[in-house]
Amino acid sequence: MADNTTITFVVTLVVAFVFLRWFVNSEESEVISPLDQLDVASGDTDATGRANHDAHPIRRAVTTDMVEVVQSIAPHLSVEQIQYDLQRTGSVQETVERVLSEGTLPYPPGYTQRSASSGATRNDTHEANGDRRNKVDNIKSENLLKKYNVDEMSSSDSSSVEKKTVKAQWSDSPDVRAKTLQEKKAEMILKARKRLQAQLSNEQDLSVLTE
Amino acid sequence: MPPRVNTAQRRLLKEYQQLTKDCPEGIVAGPVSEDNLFVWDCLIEGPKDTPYENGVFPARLTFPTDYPLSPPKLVFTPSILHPNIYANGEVCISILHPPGEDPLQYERPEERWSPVQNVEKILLSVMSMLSEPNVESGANIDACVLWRDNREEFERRVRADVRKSLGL
Repeated sequence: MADNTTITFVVTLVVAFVFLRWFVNSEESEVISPLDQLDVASGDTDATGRANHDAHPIRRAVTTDMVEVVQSIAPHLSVEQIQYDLQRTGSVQETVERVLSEGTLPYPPGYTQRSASSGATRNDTHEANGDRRNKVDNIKSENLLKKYNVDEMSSSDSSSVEKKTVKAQWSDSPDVRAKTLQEKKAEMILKARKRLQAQLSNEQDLSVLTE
Repeated sequence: MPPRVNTAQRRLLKEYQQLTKDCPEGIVAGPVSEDNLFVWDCLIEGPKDTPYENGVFPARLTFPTDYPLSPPKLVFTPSILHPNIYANGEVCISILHPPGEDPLQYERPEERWSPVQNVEKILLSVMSMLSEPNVESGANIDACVLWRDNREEFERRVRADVRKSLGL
């Protein structure tokens, strides 16, 4: 019967489609699953693993190489975020552009954000706790004079600084070497401070003049 | 002691010696203590005609035991506001990246770390990085955005940090 063959044909098509779909999916997840192992050893596998990353740029299957490439640009993002977006775009370039324009990528639905500490243990130091380290407001300056035990008063006595210009020589005693190093550091900090002081008073004079 | 560590120590001591005798302008570097040559403390001067001018920036160099095969790590302590420096102070420049091909084909292999590089070259690269930020391979995205969109505010913040660090 004509009806029967049509039905058989359609059913065969559907079965084949489902089967192929399942086959492709399982292959895809196989590619992704060794990711965790790779992350640990990424330091050694970089050169070989990344060399062929642009061999399949358009397929929507996400490979470890693609994730690694994006992660090298945006180490603060989690693997899950990158995978999720790569699955959507299928292209490293598009995902990277999105990272650069938005600064971040959406989390996959139902994904709970891992704490930064657990991320740190899993990842290499370079990829670790990126969420914290990218905050501009965390940057705090430190007083160098205190840090290096530099005597502020000695800077007022300009002649002593000039005279003390540290000789460039290599002593045989480690103690003397350490002392020379410390002196050089103090000298650099004091000189910088004097320059800045001069510049600031100049600026002040200028602003007084323009008023 | 394994021979590799010995090699690294000899090399580090030699570099220390060279830097003590003949140090480029604007750089001071040496081990924190000679008991451990693998951790160095450095001071880098901010280049002229940049917002970092007059600043002195302390950084810590940590060497791997297989130095000079692998590159050291450079961390500014404290961190500074710069597109190529993470907010935790870690510096991201090509010379500090392990040898080999760049995954993005952006850095040429000769720009990356190799045993012919040394501390002096690293610190000089860092100085030129301070004067010419590379936002195309930015590390601190917030700093990149600020640098690109609001240069005035970026420079104001850098200058304020420099003043504070020198107690002025």
